Amino acid sequence: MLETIRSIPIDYYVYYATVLFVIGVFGVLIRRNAIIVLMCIELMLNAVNLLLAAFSTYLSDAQGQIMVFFIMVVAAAEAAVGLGILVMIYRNTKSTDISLLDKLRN
Amino acid sequence: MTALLIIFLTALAVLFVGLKNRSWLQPIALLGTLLALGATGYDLLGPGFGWGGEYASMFRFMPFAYAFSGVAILATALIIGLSGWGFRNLNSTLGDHYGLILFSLCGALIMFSYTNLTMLFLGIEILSIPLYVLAGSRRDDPAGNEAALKYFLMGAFATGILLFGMTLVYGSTASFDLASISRAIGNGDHMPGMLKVGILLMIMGLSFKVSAVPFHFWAPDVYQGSPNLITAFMATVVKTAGFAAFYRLFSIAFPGAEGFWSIPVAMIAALTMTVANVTAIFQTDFKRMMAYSSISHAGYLLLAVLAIGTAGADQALLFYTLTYSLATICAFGAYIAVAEQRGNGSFSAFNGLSKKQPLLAAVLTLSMLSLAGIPPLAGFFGKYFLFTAAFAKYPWLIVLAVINSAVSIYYYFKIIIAMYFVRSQAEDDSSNVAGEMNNDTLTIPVGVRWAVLIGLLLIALLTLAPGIVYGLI
Repeated sequence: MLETIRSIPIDYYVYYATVLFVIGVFGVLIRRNAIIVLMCIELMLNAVNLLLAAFSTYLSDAQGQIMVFFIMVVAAAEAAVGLGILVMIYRNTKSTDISLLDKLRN
Repeated sequence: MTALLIIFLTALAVLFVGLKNRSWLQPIALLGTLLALGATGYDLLGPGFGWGGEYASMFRFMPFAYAFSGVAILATALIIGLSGWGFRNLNSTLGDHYGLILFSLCGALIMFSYTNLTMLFLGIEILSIPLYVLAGSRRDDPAGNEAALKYFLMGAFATGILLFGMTLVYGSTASFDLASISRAIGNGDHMPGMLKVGILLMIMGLSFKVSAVPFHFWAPDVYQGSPNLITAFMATVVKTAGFAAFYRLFSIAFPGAEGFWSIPVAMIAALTMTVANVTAIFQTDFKRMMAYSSISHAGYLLLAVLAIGTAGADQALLFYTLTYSLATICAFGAYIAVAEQRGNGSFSAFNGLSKKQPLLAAVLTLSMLSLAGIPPLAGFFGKYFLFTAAFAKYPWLIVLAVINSAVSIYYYFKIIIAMYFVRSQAEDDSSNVAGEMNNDTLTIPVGVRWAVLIGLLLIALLTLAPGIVYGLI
């Protein structure tokens, strides 16, 4: 099984994860809906998880896979707080559009 | 480690006490932070507890970590001192506020002592997640909502970038351990491209966290929209933790690759100082001015990262963060007393303060002068140590930093001029309408008085004897 996985060059995983990560970054920068921005941040974190798992397998080192668990736990905590903030904003503005939030510039 | 445990247990205790008796919250939180400060001092200066300094190559408390823990805990203790007034309108959520501030401080302590990238990531998140909640703690305030969402989205985005950098570093060095990474890099002659990209992404992620230009755009809005005391916490503890983590990472894990990362970091430092100081000149709101001021101090503090390897670089970083934190907390203490009583946070709220409340005016003046780095105040020594440490490597950057310090005097003095030389609205009214009662009642709340006086005393101590901090690490 491990041999089959390792027959794919590691470079392919790096390119694949980078593409996923860049899609996430562009989503954060371009999209105006806060929930979609949140999903794009999750996409970035999942690209990192995928790459960590791949490196971990190729280096025969468990640290990378343990890190994946930490990232998943923290991402869940972050999403809980983030969605809480979003609910608070939705109650006040009836919208999740982040371009409405420009009141602080003077 | 002892301090970390004390703070964690205090945070738990505060959460439970908050359900029953709210008047005990501030004393308990203050007691917990002071105990933690004592434990840190015992570990740093005394014989130490002799346990828990290290755990499975995940973190190690050394003099560096103890000294920075002392700075962060002291800053938090002063902020808790101010909170009797700053949090006076909170009712059922008061316990949560103290609990979240203390949990956040736990994250800062981990960022001072990590020896593994996993702990760096966890420390940053433990520091940040409570702050996302605190930034938006005024649920009905649109400014607070906006600040919380911006802080959350930018923080999570920065974490993603930092993690991708970490992963690439792991992929090319096969370890998360700082010392192993340093061994794998060696003297930096044969660095694979993946490692270079990883280091650059980590610089970007950390620059977001410490709000360095061009990754600073969230900071002024977040600082302005958050509750005043939370802004003070962000400007002091979070900044200290961010820079200590930055410094640790580059001094332990990447010293071999210095030829590669020093140029981007120097460029970020130059941009940060210049852009922040020039923008701060045009601000009319005190909190927004302090936000740009804190960004400009991030630029100076990056000089310590650039000076890695020079003798005295870590002492300079410690001294600078300490004086900067004390002066910022004193300034915020005075600001909270004035702005929340006059209902206005712009410079005009400070008009005529020297006649109304000479003590507050004096505190604010001294902290502004210290932040500007006017000799012989503590802030001057902070800048002096930092600039001399980095001068051998980057003379052009130091010239730029000195010019920027001169520019910063302009906006720090604007507030001093408003306090001493501009008449307040009430004075004008009472001189126009003869015999009318002057109803501008401005008092100094007790907690604010004590906190700013202790802060001022410590600034005076550092002014008279800057060497005491130098001997700590």
